[in-house]
Amino acid sequence: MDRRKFIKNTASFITLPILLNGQAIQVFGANGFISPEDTNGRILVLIQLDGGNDGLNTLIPLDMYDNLAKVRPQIILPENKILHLTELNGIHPSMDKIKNLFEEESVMFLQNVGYPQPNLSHFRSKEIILSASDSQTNVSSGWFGRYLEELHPTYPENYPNESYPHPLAVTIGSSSSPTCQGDINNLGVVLTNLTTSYSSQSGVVDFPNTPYGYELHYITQIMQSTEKYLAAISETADMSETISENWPDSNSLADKLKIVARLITGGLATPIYVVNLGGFDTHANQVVQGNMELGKHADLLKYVSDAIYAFQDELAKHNKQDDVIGLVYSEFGRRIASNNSSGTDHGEAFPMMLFGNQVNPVIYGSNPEIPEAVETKTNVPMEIDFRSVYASILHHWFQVETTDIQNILFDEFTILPILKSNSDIIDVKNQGDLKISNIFPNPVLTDCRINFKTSGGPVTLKLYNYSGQEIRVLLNAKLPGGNQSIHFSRIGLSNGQYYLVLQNKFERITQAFSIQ
Amino acid sequence: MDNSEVRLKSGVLSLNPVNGQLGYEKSKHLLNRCMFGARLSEIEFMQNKTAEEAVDFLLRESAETLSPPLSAKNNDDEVPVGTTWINTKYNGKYRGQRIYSYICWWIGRLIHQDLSLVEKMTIFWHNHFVIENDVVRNTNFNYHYNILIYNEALGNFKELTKQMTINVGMLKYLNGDQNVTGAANENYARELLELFTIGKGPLTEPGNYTNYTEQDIREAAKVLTGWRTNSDVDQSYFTSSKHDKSTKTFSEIFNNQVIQNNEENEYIDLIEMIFSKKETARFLVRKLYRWFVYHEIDEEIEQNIISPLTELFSENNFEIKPLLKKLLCSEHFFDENYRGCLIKNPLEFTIGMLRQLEFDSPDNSDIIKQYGFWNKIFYYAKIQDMEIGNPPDVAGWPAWYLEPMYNELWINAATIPNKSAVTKSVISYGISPLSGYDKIYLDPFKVVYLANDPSDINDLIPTLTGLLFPLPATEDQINELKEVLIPGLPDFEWTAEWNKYISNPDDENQKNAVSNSIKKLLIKICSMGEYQLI
Repeated sequence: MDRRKFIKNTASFITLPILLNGQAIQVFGANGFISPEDTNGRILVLIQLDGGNDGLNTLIPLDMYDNLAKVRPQIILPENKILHLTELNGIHPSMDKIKNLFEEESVMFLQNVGYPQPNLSHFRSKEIILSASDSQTNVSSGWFGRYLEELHPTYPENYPNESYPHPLAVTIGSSSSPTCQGDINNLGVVLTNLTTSYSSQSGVVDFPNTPYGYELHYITQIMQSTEKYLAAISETADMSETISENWPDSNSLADKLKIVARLITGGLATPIYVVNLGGFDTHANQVVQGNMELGKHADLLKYVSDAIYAFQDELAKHNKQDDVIGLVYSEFGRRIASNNSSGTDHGEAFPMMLFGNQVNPVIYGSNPEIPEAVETKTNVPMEIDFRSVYASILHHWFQVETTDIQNILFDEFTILPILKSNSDIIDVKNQGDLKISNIFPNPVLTDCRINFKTSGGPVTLKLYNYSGQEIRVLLNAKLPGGNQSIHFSRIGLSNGQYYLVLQNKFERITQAFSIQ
Repeated sequence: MDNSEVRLKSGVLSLNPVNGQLGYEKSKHLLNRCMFGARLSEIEFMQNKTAEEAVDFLLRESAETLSPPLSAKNNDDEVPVGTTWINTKYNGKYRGQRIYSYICWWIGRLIHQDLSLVEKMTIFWHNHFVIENDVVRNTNFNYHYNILIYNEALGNFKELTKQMTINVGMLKYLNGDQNVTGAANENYARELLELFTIGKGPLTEPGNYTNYTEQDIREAAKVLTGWRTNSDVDQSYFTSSKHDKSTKTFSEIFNNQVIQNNEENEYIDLIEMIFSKKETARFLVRKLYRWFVYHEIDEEIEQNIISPLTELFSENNFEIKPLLKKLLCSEHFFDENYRGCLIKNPLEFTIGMLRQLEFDSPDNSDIIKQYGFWNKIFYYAKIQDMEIGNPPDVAGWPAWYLEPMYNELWINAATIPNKSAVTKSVISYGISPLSGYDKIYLDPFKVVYLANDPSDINDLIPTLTGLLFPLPATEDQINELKEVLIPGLPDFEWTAEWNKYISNPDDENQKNAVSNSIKKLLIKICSMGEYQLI
């Protein structure tokens, strides 16, 4: 049997100060550390809404209100209470602070995010969302974990060292998040907030080639890294306090984001933080009858809205607002129809929200179609694959090469313009690979046919109005190479000048046309 | 460490029972897996039995009925301290006091457990048929859920599933009591299939999870309509007018089976249908395997262990005892390669420590103190991520299902310092049950007397490591531990110190000196990685 000898570790007693306001913190990076250069100092905060957030009650398609009221009479928001973001979309009245942020150009919505062949089980869907696998494939690593592994593919036993003092990722909360699961080890480490002392294992230990040896080795490694991570975090936390006056009380998401803010403003190089808020599985009593702008869902959305607002404010006060973006998501949305318990059952596509100073402040994607009547089982269909969102974050925010992104996400996905800058998108004048062949008839009276050509792969075709605002996504799909054609109806659009934008990965073609 | 090299593939794959008397090591292994920490006296009691005799003993019916939880707070106006609240109507007013009582009572049962599998299996079922106290809230409902899983813990899985389907706690937890005709609430139906019985397979096409489909969930939800709860009443009841009387048709996977209206017995027809699929047996067998043996199930384990056990379970009509007996007597279970590979869950760690170190928990002469102490233990496990009564969600604790780490999830940089704090409280600082009460301390001498000859350091230390570690300590480790007990001194110095104490036990200084040395030794042992494993 193979025996491995490990270096003797002297028993060490480390006393740690009380860290961070009674919050258990988990730090990812059990066997790896990171330096700021690796991620150009940029940070991503993932906010998971556990249970399946009701997207249709969060970001409301105003043009569908009447039908929504018909199909979800048990829970529909009163029309006059909805806060308007644009002509077409409103937001739940609890989220007034998100509306403020939207007006300050720090919030982006992506509509109808999902994945092909949706799985309505919390656990499987969560796995899929966190692992970025295909619905049929079982992948037990998290998408960000695989990214971190790309940065640090080996876990030598002599980590940490001078250049890599800080953990790879941090989760706030008392149970580990699979997001940062690398293929073998969870790249996570967990912090504590108590004054503690502990000892690491000592003695020369042979780790036999058995499950016992494997588990003992794991335990030993964790004990060793814990000591070092805790020191790094503790130093950082000591260096900062929160100063914004907007932090709400009795808001568990805010409490967690406060800690994230302290770590970021204190100078921790960790590029990813994961926090979550539970309670979104609103099968029953989602709203208060008679006052449907109130209730469980309303309370939860308020926590989300107030917490993010305070967090943004805190970052701004420390001049860190350009270094951080956040993604708010859930494992799935909920049914279009309400059920008889003033609630909704598990659904499919849902809106994702990005926040941060650098995000593209638009509502990306078309409003979901809500018919006048639906079956109990009808769901919002997907338009944007969630992996596109991850791909866009990896590419635009963390500047990861496309080939690496393909390894991390197992496939190619359309990169979306999630940042204000989007300097990677190159306008190409009708070159060979990507071309809008023609629009017939143009000007458009009732409808038209759009003929175009691509070299294959993910492609989007979108409609913009004269002032450059995106109106509609006509197509978001993976196509085989060659000629394609779609039908376009001008119903719901006023006369005037419009633009079609055809886009694949990095190239983009614009074509003007008019509607009369 | 690379997964594929290190982990031993297969080992001994036989379900044949091991022969002869168990002996110390096998007895320890069996009891650590079946109990919350194996005490030395218990290991010694079992070591002369054969595996079959030992397991039969662990599976025997208890002569005593379970005594109910007692009120342990002065401010429950309806129920005086020391009497039970289970026959009092729930009105929400004293929820806090009664949940406290319920949780403490449960912990107390684990601390004072008999040499039996029943409490371990109750926790297994709690992690399988999950409800969360904080969601259910009605303390009588929580109690009746607990009694169900306790009574059926070593009983019949199909029967338990039937009773659980109409149990007040479960109906409340998964909205079964809001599931009515015309507006079916799918919550329980989904989890019944996905988590409690047959389990989901890969998604082969939209809505098809191999073992069942979305259609099956919807039809099952209809079958289950009509069951109601009333916070005043401890049993659920069926209301025909709320029941969907249509004919329910299931998918091809269930041979397009049709369930006609059968009013209050229709749920039984549903359960029978689900249990007619072999996959239901297999799903539970895998769960039990992961609970008792190890999380990794490769093709060889599947073929040689899981499959035969599935057949057995099915042939025995889902009786738990024959299944457990077959597994726990097997050569595979006792394979040396599978000793010590399970990371203890926080209840095993905390309560195991109390039991193995012969900690004197308070008796029932002072209920407030006793429950206060049990509440502390509850809290100790909670800060290690295992809050009894409140699993994180309906899937139970991730240590039992989350690939690829499984119970490695118990060990992380938040729980390690907490385990250390718990270790020190138990061994050294003492545990204060409640404010106003004195701390309760470990008597380290009780631990020392576990050795045959406490004066001999070469008996004392191996006795302790032999009890507390799953595998024998190495010579280096023994030497390291000697350094903790008698730093820089030769072995006979321990004998001298010990004898000095024995010859004059009233000498406080000497007593403290010896006591402190032993505590340091115990803290060291319980802080080592080996102590996390069984």
